[in-house]
Parts: sequence; C-alpha cells; structure tokens
Amino acid sequence: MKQKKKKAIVYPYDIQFAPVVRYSHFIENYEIVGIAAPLSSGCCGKDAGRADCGDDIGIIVSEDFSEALENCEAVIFAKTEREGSYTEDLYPKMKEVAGAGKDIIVAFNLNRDNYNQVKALCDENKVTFGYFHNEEWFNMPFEPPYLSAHKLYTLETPVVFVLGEGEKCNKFETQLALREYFTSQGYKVGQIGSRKYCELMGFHSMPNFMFEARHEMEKIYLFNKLVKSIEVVEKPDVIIIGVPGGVASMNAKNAGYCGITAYEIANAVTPDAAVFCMYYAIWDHTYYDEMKNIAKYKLGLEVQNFVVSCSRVDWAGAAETMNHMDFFTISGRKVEAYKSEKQSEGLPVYNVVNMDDAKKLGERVEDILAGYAEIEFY
Amino acid sequence: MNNKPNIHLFRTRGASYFYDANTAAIVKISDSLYDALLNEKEPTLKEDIEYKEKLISKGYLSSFRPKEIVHPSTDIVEDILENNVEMITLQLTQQCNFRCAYCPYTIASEDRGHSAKRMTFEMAKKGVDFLLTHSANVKDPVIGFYGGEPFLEFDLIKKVIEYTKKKAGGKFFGFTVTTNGSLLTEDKVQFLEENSVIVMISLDGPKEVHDKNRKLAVSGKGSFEKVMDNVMRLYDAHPSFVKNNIQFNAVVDPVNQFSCFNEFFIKAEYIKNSSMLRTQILESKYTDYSDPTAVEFFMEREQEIFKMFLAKMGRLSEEKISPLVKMQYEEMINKLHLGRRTMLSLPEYGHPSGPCVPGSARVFLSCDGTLLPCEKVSEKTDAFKIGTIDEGFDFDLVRKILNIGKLTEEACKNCWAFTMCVSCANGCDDGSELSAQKRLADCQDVKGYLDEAFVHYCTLKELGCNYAAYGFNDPVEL
Ligand code: SF4
Repeated sequence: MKQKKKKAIVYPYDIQFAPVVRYSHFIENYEIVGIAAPLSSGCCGKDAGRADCGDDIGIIVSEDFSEALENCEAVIFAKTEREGSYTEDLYPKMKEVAGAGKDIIVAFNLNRDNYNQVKALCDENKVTFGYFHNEEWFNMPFEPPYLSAHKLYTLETPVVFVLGEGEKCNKFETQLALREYFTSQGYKVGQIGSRKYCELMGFHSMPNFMFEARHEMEKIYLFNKLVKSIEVVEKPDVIIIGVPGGVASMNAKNAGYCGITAYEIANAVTPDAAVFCMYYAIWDHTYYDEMKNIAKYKLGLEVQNFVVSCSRVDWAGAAETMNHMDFFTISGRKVEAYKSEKQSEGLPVYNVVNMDDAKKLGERVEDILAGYAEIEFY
Repeated sequence: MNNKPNIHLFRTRGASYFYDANTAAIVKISDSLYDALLNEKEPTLKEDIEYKEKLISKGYLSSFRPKEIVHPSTDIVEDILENNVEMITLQLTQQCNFRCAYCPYTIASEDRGHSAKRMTFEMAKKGVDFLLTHSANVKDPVIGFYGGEPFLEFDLIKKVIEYTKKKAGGKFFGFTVTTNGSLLTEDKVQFLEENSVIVMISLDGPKEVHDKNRKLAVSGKGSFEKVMDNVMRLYDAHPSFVKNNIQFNAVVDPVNQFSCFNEFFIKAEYIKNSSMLRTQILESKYTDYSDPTAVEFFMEREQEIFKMFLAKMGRLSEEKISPLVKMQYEEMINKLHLGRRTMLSLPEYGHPSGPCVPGSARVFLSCDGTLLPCEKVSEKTDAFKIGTIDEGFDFDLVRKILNIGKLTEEACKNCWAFTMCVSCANGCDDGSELSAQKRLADCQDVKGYLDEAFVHYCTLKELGCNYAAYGFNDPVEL
C-alpha cells in the first residue's frame, strides 16, 4: 500500500520553483498544499501559476509564513532566483518549523556548515530532514554498474534532449511536461534533469562532475556511462535529458559556459529528438532556422520543436552588466498570442506552461520517436 | 527620401573620421575623402574611390534612416513596470533648512516650493510595498530618501528602513539619502553605518563659493561651516563609512576661479577618501556664463582636460588630475567605448537613445502619493504625473514619455546622433507640457557634446591610449 503523502508548504517561491509546484505530484512523500513567500518575490496574493506566466495552479501565494505553517506537516525550502539570506530569513524560519514539530526539506544549496546546522536542528527536534541539492561535497546517491571508463556506449533507448538559449527559458518546465506526458502514456521514463534538485521529483540531477575542473573528454565518457547505467539499471522506454545553461554565450560579457556543457552532453549521447527553449522576443522564421543550425553544426543534433518562455532578455542591461543577465517577465497573454501566431505560420512553437500545449508537445515528441522506431537499424 | 550617407564627419589634429550612424562605427578616412564627403562630391583620388567602395561594400556610408519613431519597449511597458522597478525615491518632506539659489523648490512658485508637506509613515510604507512587489526581477533594488532635506524626517527614515528589512525576506535592498549635510549628527551616522546607507552630501566648494548659493533658511547666512563641522567629525570618527558610503556632489558655479575648486577638492582628505565625488557645472540659467571669470573658468578647465589626457597616455601622474574633470573621461569612456554597440544597421522602427522606461529606473513618490519618472522632473508638469501610489501607473502616459522622440519625429529620423542621443523627456518640459521646441533647442548641445567626445576619443587613440583595457570597439580602420 502506498504511503499517504504528508502535507507540505513551499517557502520562498518564485519562477524558479514554479515547475516543481506545477508538477508536484512527482514529489514522492509530500503533497504541496500551500505556498508562502516574502513580498519581494512579486508573487504574493497571486495564483502560483502567475510566477511562470502559465495556467493557474490553484494555490494563492501567501505573505504570511506562520499562518501557512499551521496547515502543514512539512516545509519545502525552495531555491529561488534571488536567494534570501540564510541567517536573516531562512534559518530563523527553519527553527520555527522544527520547533512546531514539522519536517524540513531543503531544495537549495546549503554549504556544509549550514547543512550540519540544519541537520542538528532537525535531530534535536526529532523531525525529518530531507536534503535535495547536489553539491561538490554532497552527491545524490546513485550506484552505477561497472562499465568501462574509456568507451562511448551506444544507447538502445530513445533519447530526448531539452536544451535552450540559457537559464530561465522554461527548460525545466519542458522536461517535466515531457515526463508527465510519457508517464501518462504508460512509458517508463529515465531522466537526468538540468537542475540540482531533481531527486525531489524522482529522477536524477545533472551530476556534479559536469561542473568540476576535469578534462572535458573525461566528462564526456562519464556522462555517457551515466546514461548507459540508467538504461541498464532502470530499463526505461525513453530517456529525457535536460541540458544545463545555453548552447552558446549570450554576449561577450555574459559568456556563461559558452555552451560547453551542451557540447559535452551532445558528444556523450546522440538524441533522437530535441526541444529548444527560447526567450521571448518577436522573431521571424529565420531566427528559428538559425537556432536549428547552431544546434546542428555546433552540437550535431536536429531540433524539431521550440518552446517560448515568458522571460525576455533586457539587452540594454545585459550590455552593461558582467556575468549576469537581466530579464523582463512578459505576460502569459502575450506569450500565448505570440505562440499562436508562430503556430499559424507553421512553426512548431509551444507555450509549455499552457497545459494543453504541454500535452501537444509531448504528442509531437512521441511521434518523432515513433518515426525512428518504424525504421529498423542494424 | 534622404539619400545622403547617414554619417557625422569630424577631425582631430592628426586625422579625419566619420561616425557611421547605421553601424555606430567610427571610421578613419583620408583627409581628401573627408573633404569629398563633406562637400557631397565623389572622391577623385584612386585610393579614395577604392576605399569608399570598400566601405560601402561592408555596409558603411549607408543612407538608411529609420521609418518611424517608436520605442522598442512600447508594447511591454506594463510587463517592465510589473517586475523591473529598480528604485523608488521617497519625498519625505518638502521642507528644508537651506535656501539654495538654484534649488527648484526655492525658485519655484507655490506648486513646487518649500512647503510644510511631509510624507506620512502610511504613505512611505505604501511606497516600500510598491517597490517590493514590483522588483522581482531586480537584483539589488534601492530606496532613496529625498526632500527638501530628508534628515528633517530622520525618524521616518529609521522606520522605513526597519519596515523594509522586516518585509524583504532576506533580499538585499539598498538605501540612499540625498542631503545638505547639516543635520548629520552622531546618532544618525551610527544608524546609517549600521544599515549601510549611501549618503550623498552636497558641497559646492570652498566657503566663499559654497556660501554664495547655499544659505541657511532661518538666518540667510552661508551653511559651509555647519556642513564642514559635520563632515570633519564624520571623517574622524567613521573613516571606513566615509570611504564606502559617503559621496559628495558639487554644483560648480563657473563665476569663480577654477583653481579655487581644484585646490579645495584636491586637498580635502575626506573627499579623496570618500566613495565618490560627482561634479556638475551650474546651468547657465542660474549664473552668467559670459562673465569674464566664467570665460576664464572654462579655459582653465580645458587645460585640465588636456592634462587628464596626458595622464591617460601615461605622460603625467594621475595624482595631478583635477577631480573636477576626471568624471569627463569616465563619461566619455562609458558613452563611446562601453556604451557604443556596433550593429549592422539602424532599425526601421526605433527610438533615439536617451529615455529610460519612465518609472522603472528611479520612480519618485511625492509626499501626497503622486508617481513621477524620477526626482529630477517637475511636479508641476502634468505630463510627468505617471500615476498614483493607490491607482498604480497610467501606462498611456508612460508610453507617451517613453516615445518622447515622436515630438521631433522628422528631426530624429534624420539625425546621425540617433543611437548616441542623451536627450530625455525632462529636457522637453516647458513649464506646463512637453514641447518639441524645447527638445529641438537641446539638440545642438547634444550633438556638440558628442562631436567633442568623438574628437577626444580619437585623439587619445591616436596618441596611444589603450582602450583595449576597457573592452571593445576601437575606431575602425579597414
Ligand atoms: S539630437 Fe535631437 S534630433 Fe538628434 S536624436 Fe537627439 S533629440 Fe533627436
């Protein structure tokens, strides 16, 4: 018999955690019944779905943490775009939670000292402490079978990539939308997500070795081995891989990883389908062709579908700031209108926070994979 | 249709150039090609003919001009103002203990005079909440305290900072105060230091200069000594606070010897060790630029600029450079070097640079709850009342100010300064509405400023200044 899920609230909250709340049924032991956030999140008093400009989720974000705490058995402390202060805000709230005898789940990065402090707090108050954030010092447990280190394995299972222009362009929403679709169709899904707390949603986070100072070839071998291990151990029908970062640098001052991680992942695994997530901007079809070409000639893969997000790059700001991008959030109504216009022009562009569209994207990716399945390769 | 190349020609002592409006590139050319372009003639020398063809083939010298003036953010002002308000400035009081000659409140009629109006805590809280709920996409939003003299309402400042911290959920919010410096007592400084508040003190120069324009309200006497006492005490007791958080703002009246400012600002330890000195020259409407002392002032200033250029070429110690002209170099670097982005062409639909999205950069909340684009604009002019704290922004008015270039559409479409223009709506205020004449009247100044900046920029480059240290965009030589 399945264990009854505990009632949990999320604190703090913004666009970063919106996909988790949108697909919260993937969280194994907790059911999200409330959300609280400081006023500075811009989310208070609104439906949680407004954070990523998508369909309503049905939970109004509250400014009153203590009141929200009364109606739950656990608090999920979430990663947000603008992280609040651990000492001034998060830890005092954790004390309040533990003191009330409720579980603490952390899905943002704690350093080792803070981790130990929260753990001690939970032990002292005899409440459960769950930590879901891959760190240099904290790797999510996964025991791969023995595989040779210096060999690129071929995969038998169809692979879908979700990649994009950078951060904040609905890549994680898209990964979860595809997980939702394929599981609902009865497929077994193996998955590596682009974020560091995917274990909370029941799949693997992007491994730390991809961000460590190692030789790039070693990362490619290790990633290939990891995906092969998932294929061997979990026996999935489909594997979804979320690619962190962008496929190229945004501009000279915001080089990010220059698409290095995307390049390594694409060299480790060849996808059978790829969805490309984009920032909001009024583009004609030439831009989509250009993105396809970047993916084709830089990464050697075919992009068949696009997702448009509500984040629009503030290019004037981006030209002035180093290593930091500023964004505007475009209303869901405008994103929806833009997507409809592109679809009417025959472009495969989806608004993945519209749940009908999310399903349509799943169907289309399934069709693409089925197309491959019809041809037998030897 | 205008078929002439969309360029601006200029010369340094050593070479000829054009600024290409379409690509934002600065291109070096021969003197003979310069003459031909200036006289709208075809070049006659073989190398000029070939060079011109090469330039055209690479997209330079295009006659393209925008078709319509429309700001690219016009359709998304609602979205920008929902989550990207970077700063709110609270007008805590209209009262002041000074009567400065050039202060708009001193000069103004009853609509913007020093009245007894003060902001209530309830109103200030609304202002803070407004910023909190409209800055989700902003990394470090800022709350500014403004007056009158904001320290007349120190208790309100304290309450607002405490309220903000309580509500911010650990997110960083910056605080700034713009003050005349006369009320900076020890208890206030301790609080300001504890809360990392940036304090901008107005100090116009040595006693005789400062006292000329900045007088105490009650006695009508100069305020220099009072301000200096506070500044010196502050410097002795809180040196690190001065270094990190104190900024000085000097409004320099040119009807004074340049050297007297220079000596004052170079010698003053507390200014050298403060976080910033901003200087601006008093506008001609408040003083007499034709006065012989002013004429001499400007000549001395030119010499100082020349010395600064020598320093940038490594031929003079930076120490010897007047703090009054240092900013000129920084501004030039920002405008022509870091701020100039080369591109393929001007857009068909676009707007001259200059205006920010009204309300997003530093929205001003008056004592009575009116929202204005910033603290610089007049509360008298209805066109600037872009909303109220209770009703929010009037987006149509915001769009109108944002598209201020519509007022002068034909001139702007045909202007080489399109992407370098610095003219914003504040300069178009004729006292009651936004006026095309006022905007056009400023164009000569804008273009003159840019022309001079181009000449300085290229002269320095010719003399070996290393712009590469700052990044990109060297003048183009094909
Ligand atoms: S200088 Fe004058 S004409 Fe040129 S863009 Fe600016 S406002 Fe328009």
